[in-house]
Amino acid sequence: MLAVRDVIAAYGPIVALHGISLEVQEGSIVTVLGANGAGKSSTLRAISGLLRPKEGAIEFEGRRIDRMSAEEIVALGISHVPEGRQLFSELTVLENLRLGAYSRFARAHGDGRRVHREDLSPLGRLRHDLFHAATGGIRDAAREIGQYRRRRRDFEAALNQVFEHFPILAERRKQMSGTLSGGEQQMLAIARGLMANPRLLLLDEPSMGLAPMVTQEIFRIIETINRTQGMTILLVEQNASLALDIAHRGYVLETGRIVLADTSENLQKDEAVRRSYLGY
Amino acid sequence: MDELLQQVAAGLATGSIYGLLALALVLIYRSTTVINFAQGEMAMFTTFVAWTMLHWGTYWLVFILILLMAGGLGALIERVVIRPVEGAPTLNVIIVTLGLFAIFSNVATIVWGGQPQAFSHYPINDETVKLGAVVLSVHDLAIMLFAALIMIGLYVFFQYTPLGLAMRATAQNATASRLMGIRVGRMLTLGWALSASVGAVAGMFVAPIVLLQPPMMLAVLLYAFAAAVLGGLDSPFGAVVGGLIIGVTESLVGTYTPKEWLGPEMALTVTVFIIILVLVIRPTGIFGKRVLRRV
Amino acid sequence: MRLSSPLLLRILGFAFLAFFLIYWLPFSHALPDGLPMRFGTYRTIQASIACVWVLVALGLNILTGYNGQISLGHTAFVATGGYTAAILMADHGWPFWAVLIPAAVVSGALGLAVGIPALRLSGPYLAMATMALALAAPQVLKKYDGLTHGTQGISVRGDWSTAPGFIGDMVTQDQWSYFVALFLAVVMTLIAWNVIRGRVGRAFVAIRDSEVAAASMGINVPRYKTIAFAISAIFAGIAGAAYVQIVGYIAPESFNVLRSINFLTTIVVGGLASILGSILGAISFKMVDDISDFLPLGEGPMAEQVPWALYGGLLIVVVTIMPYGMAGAIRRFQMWLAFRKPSERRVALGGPALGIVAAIAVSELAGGSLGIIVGLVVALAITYSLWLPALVRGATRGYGRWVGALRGSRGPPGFVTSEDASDERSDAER
Repeated sequence: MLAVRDVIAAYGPIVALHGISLEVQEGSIVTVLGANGAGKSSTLRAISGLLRPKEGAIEFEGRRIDRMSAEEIVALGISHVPEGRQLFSELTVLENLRLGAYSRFARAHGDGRRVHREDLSPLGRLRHDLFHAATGGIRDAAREIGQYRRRRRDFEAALNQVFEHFPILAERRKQMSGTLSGGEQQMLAIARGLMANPRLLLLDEPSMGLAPMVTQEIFRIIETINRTQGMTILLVEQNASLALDIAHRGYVLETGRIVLADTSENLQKDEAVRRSYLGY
Repeated sequence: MDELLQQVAAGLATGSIYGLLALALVLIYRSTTVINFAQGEMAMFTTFVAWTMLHWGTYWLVFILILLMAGGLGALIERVVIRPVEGAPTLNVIIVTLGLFAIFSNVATIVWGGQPQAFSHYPINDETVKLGAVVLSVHDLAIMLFAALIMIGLYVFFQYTPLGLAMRATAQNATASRLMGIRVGRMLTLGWALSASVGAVAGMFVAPIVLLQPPMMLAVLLYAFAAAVLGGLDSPFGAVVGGLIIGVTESLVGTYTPKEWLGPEMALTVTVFIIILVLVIRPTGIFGKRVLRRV
Repeated sequence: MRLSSPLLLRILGFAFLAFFLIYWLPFSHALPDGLPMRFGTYRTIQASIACVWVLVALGLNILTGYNGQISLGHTAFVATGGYTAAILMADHGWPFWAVLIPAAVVSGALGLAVGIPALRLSGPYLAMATMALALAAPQVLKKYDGLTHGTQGISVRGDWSTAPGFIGDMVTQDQWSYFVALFLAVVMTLIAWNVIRGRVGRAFVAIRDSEVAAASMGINVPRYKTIAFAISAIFAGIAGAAYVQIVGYIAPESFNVLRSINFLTTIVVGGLASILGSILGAISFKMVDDISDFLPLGEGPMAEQVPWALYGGLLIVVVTIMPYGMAGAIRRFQMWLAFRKPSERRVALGGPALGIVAAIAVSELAGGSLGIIVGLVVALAITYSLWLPALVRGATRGYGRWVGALRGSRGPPGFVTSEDASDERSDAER
């Protein structure tokens, strides 16, 4: 489903990924393990379009996505639940979920986009920008009115599904998301990602800053989402033992390079992994 | 008592204009943390265009066309001159708006001349209406009505439409917004367009009072800045309330302070010092959100 | 002693600046040879006022650039200094040298008084609060006319402004005023330098970068922030006194809010947190007046408006391509130079040098601003001829790239490694 091939990416002069390759099969949970600064988050950022790869290719369902913008990629069906949750803390839970579903409206059109801005000449780009400045708002508004009913129905359905996984969010729907507890915030972040109705979910350290009990709860839900909905999940984690428990495959990242790739059972048995990441 | 009411009402009318322009400032500030010093001059410019168009069209048609044109102007400015300095320090963006200020005010003088022009063909006349003990002109009433309508309209837009929600999200966290599939750049453009339209309304209402001339919006802009700051720069509601407070304060200070050492000439001074006092007590304005200090 | 190339450049820069100030501005108007020095009155006054703006810019840069506190109210401090000087000179007969201290003290005291409530404010809120000062100043000056002579202002032209002794035979009053202003500018530049290099300056910068971190290192944050305001106001107060001495007249409307805003523009264009930047910014701001001398606009509204409209456009271009002001651009040029081949280095340095020569030659022949502009064009043309192939290459990559590269986030266009090339896309896409 997702194939990352020899991706090199950098923040300015600092190279974060030195040629990463990995693959995610449809319906599986794949985890990426590694220490701080190994390039785990950068890998996800490269996939979701927040970090532009310098070299290499990323394919999603047979389509090159490494030159697309983050907005286009989410419309294709990849949801990125970022590190540190990145909630809209002054908006309510419901509003956060609404924003999660924002890309669904764009999707119908995103697929059929005739022009990619990046393919244009400089002058063409300027013209394209000016044209969009003038017409973008009007088109968006027209589209919104036209699809109002269908979208509302889709939204309600997605909302109900999300609330099934995270019943606590239904109770807190009117609450400012910044006032939620850490665990609830993480749940909201995942729920918000699910609202886009993705085919691939990228999770960046869902255990970060959470109590062990809460972490286990969240991992249980992640596994359920994978099992019941068949959701493909790429999970980045520092908590290797929990991640390997639910994942089918795993990659180990060290200083921007993949050093190990295997099924989770084999990784759990691997001597080096056990010593460095599992701690026994 | 009647005089007091009258002064308050008059203050509310001028305050509505400050509030409108303050609202325009806040719309831009919220998403980019930039004070657009060209806001007033943009409004002045579009009002001049409206004045020219009034030679051919009826007022309300021109009014609507000008709102659209102002929106286009705002969007164009955002795309062409603000976008390139997006990542630069905030002060640089402010200097860019000051550059726009100089361009608009001087180009307007070059095109339309520096002489004050009567804003004719204006359907809202100066006839007065008596409401209880208070006498107000139709124009004043219209200002308050429009300010209220725009407030409500924007509230509905931001609170109840997906696009408005997306704009609020962009203002809070641009990266997360991109992950939601929101085209952040387009939201910023839209913010400028909206802001320019709201400003244009203010311009259309200032012109009949002070006569149409290039410097007409300068004082209004400064008051609007004060109003936006007083209300809290990230709160559209606060901007309008701030405008009303300043309008009323100015009106009352002018009337009720001793003439020998304060009086009407010092109304502005007293008003701004009251604002400073409020700010010292609430450093991010009355409705502004508190900022946590981090290392 | 061996001079390192950056130090050499800096010395060259200041030497050019000194030359520019002392010879260029006042002397360039080609006048008959009757006078011992060929000063034109108009240009002399322009140059003198440029020195005054240098003083204000230095003070404001200490506050805003080094200490991170924005001020849109500096005209109030300038007016305070100016009025203190004018009242003492006109009504009490003090000589100019004697009023400098009271002007600085009164203005500094006002700065202290403003600095205390300012402790609680920052960013646009502080900008508004300080702007309130600038708004109020003319009104206050008009209202309490017992002391300030109200709207009519104070006129202070007198014997005191003539140069003493034999110098008085050589220079006119205006010329003498210019040298006085220049002397003040130089002395205050040195003082500013000392403040910034010292303990106080380091505290300012530490506070600007992080108040919490500064406090945890034992810096008394409120104290130093207030001191920054006071020092800044002292500079402005001395500038006000110098202004009165040059113009000979001060009125409430001499300093309005727009001027305050212009001060801020000056230091951003020149370069925040840079002494050289303050000086460059102030001088270049003054040069806007010269645009009208240069362009064939004739008299009337066009001559008034067109330069300022151009100034607006220029402002946008300058802060877009030089995010850290002129001083930042010079620093970047030094960095760039450090990695060049000697042959290229010769061209890059020779260009500006040739430009200066051309500027002098043209102005001697044609006079005035034309020379300055021709010189700048020549200097830029020669310097940029090195960058030209790169610029052309950059042009084919889209305008987002252009802007990004010119903006200086990653060096001159084309002289970037292939690593940078892909960043262009993330720039362009937003």
